[in-house]
Amino acid sequence: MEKKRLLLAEDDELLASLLNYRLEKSGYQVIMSYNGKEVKDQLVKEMPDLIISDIMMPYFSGLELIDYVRNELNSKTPIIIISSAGNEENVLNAFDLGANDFISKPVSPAELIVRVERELAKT
Amino acid sequence: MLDKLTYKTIYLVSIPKIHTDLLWDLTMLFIVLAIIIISTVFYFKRKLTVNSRKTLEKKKELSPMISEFIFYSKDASKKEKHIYIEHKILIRELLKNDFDRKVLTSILLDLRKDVTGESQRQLINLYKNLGLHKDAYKKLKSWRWAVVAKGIMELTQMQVTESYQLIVGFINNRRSVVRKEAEIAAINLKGEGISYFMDTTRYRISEWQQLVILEVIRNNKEFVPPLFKVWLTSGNKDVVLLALRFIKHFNQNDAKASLIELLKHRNNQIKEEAINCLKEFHVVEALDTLKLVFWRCSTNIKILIIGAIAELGDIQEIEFLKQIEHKRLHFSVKNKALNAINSIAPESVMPIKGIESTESIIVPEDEIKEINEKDTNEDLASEIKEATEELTKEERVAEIKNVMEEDKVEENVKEIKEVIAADINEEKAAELREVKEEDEIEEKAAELLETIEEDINEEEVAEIEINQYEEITHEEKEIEPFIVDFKSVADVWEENPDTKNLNVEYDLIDFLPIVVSEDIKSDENELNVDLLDVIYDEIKPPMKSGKEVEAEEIEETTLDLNIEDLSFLPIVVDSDYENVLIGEEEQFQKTLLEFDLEYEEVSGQQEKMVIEEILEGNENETESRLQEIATIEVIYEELMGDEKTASNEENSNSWPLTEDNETLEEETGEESELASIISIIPKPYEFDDEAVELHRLLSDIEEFGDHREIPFLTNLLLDETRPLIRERIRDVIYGIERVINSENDAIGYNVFEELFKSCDLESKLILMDEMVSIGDEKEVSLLTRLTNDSNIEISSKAKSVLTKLKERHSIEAPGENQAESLDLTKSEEGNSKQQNKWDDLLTFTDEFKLEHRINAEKNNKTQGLSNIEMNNALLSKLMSLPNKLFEKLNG
Repeated sequence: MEKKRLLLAEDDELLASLLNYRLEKSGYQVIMSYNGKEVKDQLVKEMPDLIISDIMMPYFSGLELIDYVRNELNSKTPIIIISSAGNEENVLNAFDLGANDFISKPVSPAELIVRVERELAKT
Repeated sequence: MLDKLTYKTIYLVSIPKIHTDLLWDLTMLFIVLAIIIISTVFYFKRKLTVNSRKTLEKKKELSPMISEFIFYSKDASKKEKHIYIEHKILIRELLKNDFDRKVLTSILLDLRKDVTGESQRQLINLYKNLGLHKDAYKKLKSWRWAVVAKGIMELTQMQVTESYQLIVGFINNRRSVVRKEAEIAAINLKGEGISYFMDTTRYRISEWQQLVILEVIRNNKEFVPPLFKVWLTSGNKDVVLLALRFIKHFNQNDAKASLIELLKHRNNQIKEEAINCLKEFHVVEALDTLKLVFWRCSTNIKILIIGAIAELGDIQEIEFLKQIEHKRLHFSVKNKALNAINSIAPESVMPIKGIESTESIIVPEDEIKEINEKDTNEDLASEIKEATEELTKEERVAEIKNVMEEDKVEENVKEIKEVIAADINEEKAAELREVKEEDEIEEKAAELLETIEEDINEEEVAEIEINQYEEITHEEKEIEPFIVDFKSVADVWEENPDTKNLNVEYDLIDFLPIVVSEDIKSDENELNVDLLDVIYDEIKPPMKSGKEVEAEEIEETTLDLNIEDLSFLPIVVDSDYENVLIGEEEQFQKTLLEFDLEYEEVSGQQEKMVIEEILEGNENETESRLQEIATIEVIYEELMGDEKTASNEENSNSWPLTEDNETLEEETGEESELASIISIIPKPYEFDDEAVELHRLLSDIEEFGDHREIPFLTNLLLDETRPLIRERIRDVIYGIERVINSENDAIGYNVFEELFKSCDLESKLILMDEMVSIGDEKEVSLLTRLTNDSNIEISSKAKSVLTKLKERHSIEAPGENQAESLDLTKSEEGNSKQQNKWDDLLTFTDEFKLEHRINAEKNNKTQGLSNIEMNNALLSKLMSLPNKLFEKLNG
């Protein structure tokens, strides 16, 4: 069975590495991006099955990413947003732009897996 | 000669003569200095860059390894297990390097912030298992406060609860950064940390720190708040403040009395928090104290107090609030008082500022018409309608009568009535009757009024208006619409009997202006059809609160007249009422003055009493002391009879007390008696240089010496003849012997026996295992006792351990190499260890302690000292013992 491809956009390399390990362990193929530019290039190249993105990223924020995916690429790929706690306004904006789910930092990797599974099950 | 007399030219600005070579030297020097500085800056910058790059690379290298450890599960595949073991071996090597340890610590600390749940727990366990907390312990011992603070922070973030005792020692550190970290750590690490912190802290707790502490507690889900009221009595005002905030946060409303008492606190912040708490818990009992302390508070606190009174108080507090409004206080306080009055009794205070007087307004004639029209048509018509539905006519007439009799307005009303009545002629009455027949009331009223306006002479109207403005006061003008009088219907019927036959529905003409006929007063029986006068009752006050209703009830009990029913009446400013107000104000001023005066008097009396007591006490004391000193002086003079003390004598004579002639006479008389006293006093010992040296030596021996000094001291004792020195030598010997005895006692102490007293079954079994490897003869007796234990597990284990221990001791016979014994022990357990090799590698706790054994083996190879290996093995076992115990206790 073909592995589902996830795009993980997170500028914190340590956290990205940790989440990547956990996601791969759960049977997903993870494409890592550490900044907005890389994410954009990656999306143009190939659309993943799900996008996990941090809101605060260099060059290209998570909100811009959602807007780009939904409006420019016209894709309905599920997007899960990772945001720092207390950043309520950004989260609401993300949902307005078309984010599917939201998870706050500090992240529970186990919780993230559950959310990813749920979103992928919907598609 | 002339040249000599000529004046020399003196330049105002002259260039100082500096040697060119010196200038060059200086230039070179500065260039060299600049080069050194620049190169130093570049060197350090480069070093930092290289370090950060190195760290980043290391982090990249180590992060997958850490992920592997965090997410490792026992049911992993073979491949995963293999990778895991490889990583463990690798990380063990890395731990030997300080730089790697630092990087590992920073990675774990970074990830600790980003992850939560099970991953976070694993991360913390990893930190402890790698022994990185020991580095943090070392940091606590650093002389640099920044390093200490960092160490505390690390231990706090990684939840190393064992470090609690070490950290709480920093709560009163003079460095605020260290102190703050220690405070947070104490609260975070243990539940009782907050109590300890609040009990012991001596320093200020800044506002920011208080917020941080509150945040820490809020985020700690397992936090069980203690009763914070116990700290309301603290000497540290910041502790009191923090306790108040906690009380409010945790809704601990069982400290009402203390909160009320804190209203009297000098500190405004404490006062403010206490008021907030009282408001929060709705402590009505605090009202009296609030009112009392109000007069001594700052403006801000006054405003807060008024706010609290508004929230807690009822209608009884309005009097106090009115007093505030009349006092010379800050405008914001007064405003707040008015707000409070309105919040207790809504709309009881109307806006007064910026409201223009209407007395000076000259209304144009056409405007007067419009006003009359409006008043008579719209307002009054609707009011009449409502009034007719509610109250009976007779009652209202009676009330109106009463009111009219009482009020001074009556005269003016009468005048206006007469004027208006005179102007309305018969024609208008007839038209009115015709109008009554029509169905649409409003249309008719409009028509009627139009006709009235047409018929009434403009000049007359003007006259009426002028009269009104000249004679009627502002308040009276308000009732102007009510006093418009028409002829009664009875009169109309008398004049035109035909109209009687008309079946007029009087309810339908309630739009008409209020009619107060003179006939009503004379003959009430004829008013049965005159519904128009009912309007006077219909102007109702606004909706009332419960408090107002209560107030009205009170009023009802005292007055026969229902004030509510008279609320339609204009405000009549009675001179008596003014007098009452003035009287009240005077009374209030008087009470206030009395309050202040009483207070001052009391305080003055108290102060006076205290001062008197002190003075009396001082007098008595000084007298007694003077007597004592006088007697001492006498003895002193007598004893110090030699020449050296001559100056002292002079001084003592200059002492004011000895100037007393009587005392001096007595002194001379008692000389003989004192001479006998001198003979009793022992003469001082005079030590020679040798004796002084000996004393010094004995002191040194006492401080630094041990059992080896005893023979020397014994010989010295034998040789010495001077009793004092002999006594001193004996003391030193006894001291050394005491130390030796105490050391012997300590040697006999059995640590296992102590631990056994407070252990559970599993811990006891673990301890017995440890006895095999590190136990000695002392443990034999304990194990022998344990073989008879009621618990079968313990007794059987004790037997096996005893056997093993005895075997080990027999092997460790004198002359045998200790290294060999270790090898034998190893060989004994060799098979089982080999079997569990993989399992051991998979568990962290044992694994990282193997490092000590590895080090020991290396030492053995290089140095060939088997004793060291044995010591290391023992040491490692001893070190691992508390860890194992903690793990056991933590499950």
